[in-house]
Amino acid sequence: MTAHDRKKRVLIAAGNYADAAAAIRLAKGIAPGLIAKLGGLLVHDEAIADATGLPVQRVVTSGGMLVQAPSRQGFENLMESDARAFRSGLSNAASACAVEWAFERRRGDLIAGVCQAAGGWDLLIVGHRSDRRIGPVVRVDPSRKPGEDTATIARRIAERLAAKVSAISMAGPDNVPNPPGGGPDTVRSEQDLLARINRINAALVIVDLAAGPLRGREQLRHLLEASRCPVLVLNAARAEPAIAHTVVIPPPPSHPEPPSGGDFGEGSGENSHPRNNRDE
Amino acid sequence: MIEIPASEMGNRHAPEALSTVLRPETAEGGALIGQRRASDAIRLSAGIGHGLFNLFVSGPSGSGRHAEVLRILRQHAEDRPAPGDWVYVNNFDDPQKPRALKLPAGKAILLRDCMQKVIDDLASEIPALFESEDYQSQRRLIEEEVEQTHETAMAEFAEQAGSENIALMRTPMGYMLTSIREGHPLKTEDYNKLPADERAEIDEKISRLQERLAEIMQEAPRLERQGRERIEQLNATVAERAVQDRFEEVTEELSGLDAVSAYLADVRADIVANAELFLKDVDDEDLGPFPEALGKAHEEPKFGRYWVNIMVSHQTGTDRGAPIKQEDLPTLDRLTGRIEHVSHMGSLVTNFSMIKPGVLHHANGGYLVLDASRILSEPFAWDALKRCLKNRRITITSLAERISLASTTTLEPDAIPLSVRVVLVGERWLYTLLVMFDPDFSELFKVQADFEEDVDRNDETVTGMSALLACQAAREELRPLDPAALARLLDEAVRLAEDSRKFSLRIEALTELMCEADHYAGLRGGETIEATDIDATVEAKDRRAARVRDRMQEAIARGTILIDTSGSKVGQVNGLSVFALGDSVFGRPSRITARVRMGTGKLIDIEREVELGGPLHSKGVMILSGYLASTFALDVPFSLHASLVFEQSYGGVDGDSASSAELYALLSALSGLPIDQGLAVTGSVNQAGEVQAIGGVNHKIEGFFDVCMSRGLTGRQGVIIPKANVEHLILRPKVVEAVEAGQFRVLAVGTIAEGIEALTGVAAGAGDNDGSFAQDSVFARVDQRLRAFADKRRDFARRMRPESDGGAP
Repeated sequence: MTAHDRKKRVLIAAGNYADAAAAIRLAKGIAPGLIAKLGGLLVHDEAIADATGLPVQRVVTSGGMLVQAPSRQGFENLMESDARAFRSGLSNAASACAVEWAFERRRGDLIAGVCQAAGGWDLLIVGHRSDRRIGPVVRVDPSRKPGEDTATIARRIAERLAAKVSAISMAGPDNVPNPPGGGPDTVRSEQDLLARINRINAALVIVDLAAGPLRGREQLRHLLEASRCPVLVLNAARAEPAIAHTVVIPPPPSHPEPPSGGDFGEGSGENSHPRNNRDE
Repeated sequence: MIEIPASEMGNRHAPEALSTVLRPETAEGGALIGQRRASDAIRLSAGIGHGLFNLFVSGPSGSGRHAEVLRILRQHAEDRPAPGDWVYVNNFDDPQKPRALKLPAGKAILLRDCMQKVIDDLASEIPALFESEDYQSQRRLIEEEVEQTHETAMAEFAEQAGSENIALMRTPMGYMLTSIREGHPLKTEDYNKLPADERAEIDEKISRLQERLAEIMQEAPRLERQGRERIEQLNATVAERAVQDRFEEVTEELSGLDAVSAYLADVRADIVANAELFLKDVDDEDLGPFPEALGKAHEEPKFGRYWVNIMVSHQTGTDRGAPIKQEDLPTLDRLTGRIEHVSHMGSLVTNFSMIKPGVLHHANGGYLVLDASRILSEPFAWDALKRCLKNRRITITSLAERISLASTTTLEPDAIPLSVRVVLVGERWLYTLLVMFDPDFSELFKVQADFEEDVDRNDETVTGMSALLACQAAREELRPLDPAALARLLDEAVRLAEDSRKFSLRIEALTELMCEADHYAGLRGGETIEATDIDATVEAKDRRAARVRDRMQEAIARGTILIDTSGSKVGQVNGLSVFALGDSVFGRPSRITARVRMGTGKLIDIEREVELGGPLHSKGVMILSGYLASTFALDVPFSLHASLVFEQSYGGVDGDSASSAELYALLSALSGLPIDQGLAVTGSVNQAGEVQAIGGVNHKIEGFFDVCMSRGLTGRQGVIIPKANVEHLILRPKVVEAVEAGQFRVLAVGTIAEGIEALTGVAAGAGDNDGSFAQDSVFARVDQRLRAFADKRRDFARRMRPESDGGAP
């Protein structure tokens, strides 16, 4: 067995249960032979509550209804409920896959929180609500040849999902976009990359933050928003710090990348350390 | 009085008059004799077209009723067409109400096999089609189109929101929009600090975009529904492609079956609509060593909806004519069929394939033979049979449902039209009870076949009985009977009838004799059954059943039971009675005594007083009392007090066959003339003094003969029987031989006068017109004694009258 074939410890992270559920479904689908341990991380992003309360602002439900946004206390209650559901869903998935599990809650910026918590895990899946049943596994490749680990994981997951692997890379100094001989889909810039992914009906997006081209937390945030599906991240702990908020922020080309650091501090959750399941 | 010669006591069959060893070529034939009336009734019921001419066959058991019924029914069944097959199939519109299909004979199995083949074929063809690249690409195209449509709208929305500096936040409840300021979501407190026009601009953007987002989200379910419909349509098209070819072949194979074509159309539509049934778990199936194409997919429960449940099937090659069915245990379920259930997840479930046929299904279009007492003793079975016959259709209702024992899902299968002729075989009393107490019975069972118990003995019946017995022997695979054995068997048939002019028609009893005789013939290595085998059988059978008789004979021989067989005594006579327990029947003498004195005309029957006498016995005693009162001392009050008793009788006594003996004892007691104790008496009497016939005369004579023989025959001993019983005599050879040798007598009398003369040796003395009897005759002495009682009674009354009566002025 090579290092690539070894089972992985996978952390599922999300800002709410709807996002987590999509990632849990995905993890259950790919668990056999791939996952050794499951972790769950629910990050309570208070920026959402802070941005709530504009006069015309409503919540658009998954069924397309416009409902009044909850109060700050309402958000707290919803997060409690989501935490219970996340924990339950995770334990069920772990039982079904016969693997150990751990669950943790944090407060603060989602991306900053998950990147920080991902240190003890091989893979990170950042959840995003999605009903997609088909569609490719999209691999974001560096300009040079992709890492063997990334390629292997993408292939094995694609096999499990009966999907194909679609690779997108950014043009580097050695290559040009979409050469006539075929190969990976190549774009010129990060903005083009995100725009391309925005238009792809992907089942999962895989990115290696150590290999690039996306390396920072803000880039991961933009990738997640553009993907609108779970994002599997390798080397998430090595992501470069960035500004923290769980929103789609159109990156103005004229602005430099925001400084690192979160509004709420890192690791301020009630359970700052992952813990094993309660059976232990 | 007549002394019966030995020649009239046996009237045995001469072997020479019978043919040589009877070897029938076939066990068939040998029709019952003397049952023409019953046979005609059976033929009527078997042949008539009307539906309610069902048959009740009554008569003694062992008379060959079943065999005769089956023989005649087979004759009629051969000429009738074979009925059709019946199957139950799924009702795709309402599975609780399975459909019944009638098919021509032999086609049910064809339909079942065709359906199994179709399912087996489609179970491999449909998955192959659905796994084909063609189908998969079409399906993927539809799904991609649907999802892409939604995703494109979302992508465009995200782009538009981004271009207008609006952020899309994911909350536990759904999406929420907010404005972006300097790369950060706009906090509410910052919003409130903005100028009014900016706030209005933000409000307008958020309001417009969230409306648009709501539209996109609302569109998603509609797109999915459309996608599902397109996929279902694609599935149906693909399934139809597989089903069409296969069903065209089946329709051609089952062409001409109108009932099937509609069903096939339903199956075809259902398979197309439920094509996913053929796709599930294909990869998980364990087909063992067989390739997938050879797996019996039709046996899988998920394809149960396409099974064909055969209720009745007739083989075109082997089943000819109408069916004849018998059911030994006619319970409700076995009669009308049942609906079985299986336990699934703790509850009982069922479906059309668990409908099981009853004997009515199997006999439909033919004949059903049932034992009347059995069906009447099974709960709800008789009621169900009547209901089916009356409604002319078979409705299946479970017993548990009838009595509300089980509350679970059940079925209401189509009732199957019923055309059956039911033959009930039972006892006469059962027929009588049904006629009297069941108003439906006479309506449904219009024909009775009443089997005779015996038949006249003449040349024709001798021939018929001979043939019948020979065929019975062949049917039972016994050795053939030689003429002597046949003659002995016919003698036994006469003895069973207890009438020298009749043959008993209890064929079963005669067959049993033959079977046992065949055994003895086998033991001695004979190739035919001989007369000695029949004799051995009769003797062995008699011995087996004779334990009680032997103990009684022993008690008499040792003087425990007091019976005189010689000398003479006043007021004492030997009566004769018969004991019967199953096949064991024997006669025995009983001492009857009478005692008389002056009284008020009261005759005490001690048996009745202690409730050991039955009503017929009491009736006989009262009759003889009437005879005495109306015959003697007519001009004076009847001043007799008499008592009668069966000495040493500790069980019940019934029947009036001892009434003449009781009268003889009374006459002896009144006249003071002793009765010859070497004679025994049987016969009933009427008020005119005539002696009437009784039953069991042969056993009674033989019973007294055995007692006399054990003490030594004197030549004076004998039995007095009614004249009317002379023609019933068919005595055992040992009795006949004793009579022939003058060692034993059988006397026949027609009146009490004849009997008392034989018993006392004194003339009875017939009465004159003035009521007087001949001097010193028995009757004259009786008359005088009764008058003397009357005189004494008058004197006694006078003495007892109070003095005041006489001295009164």
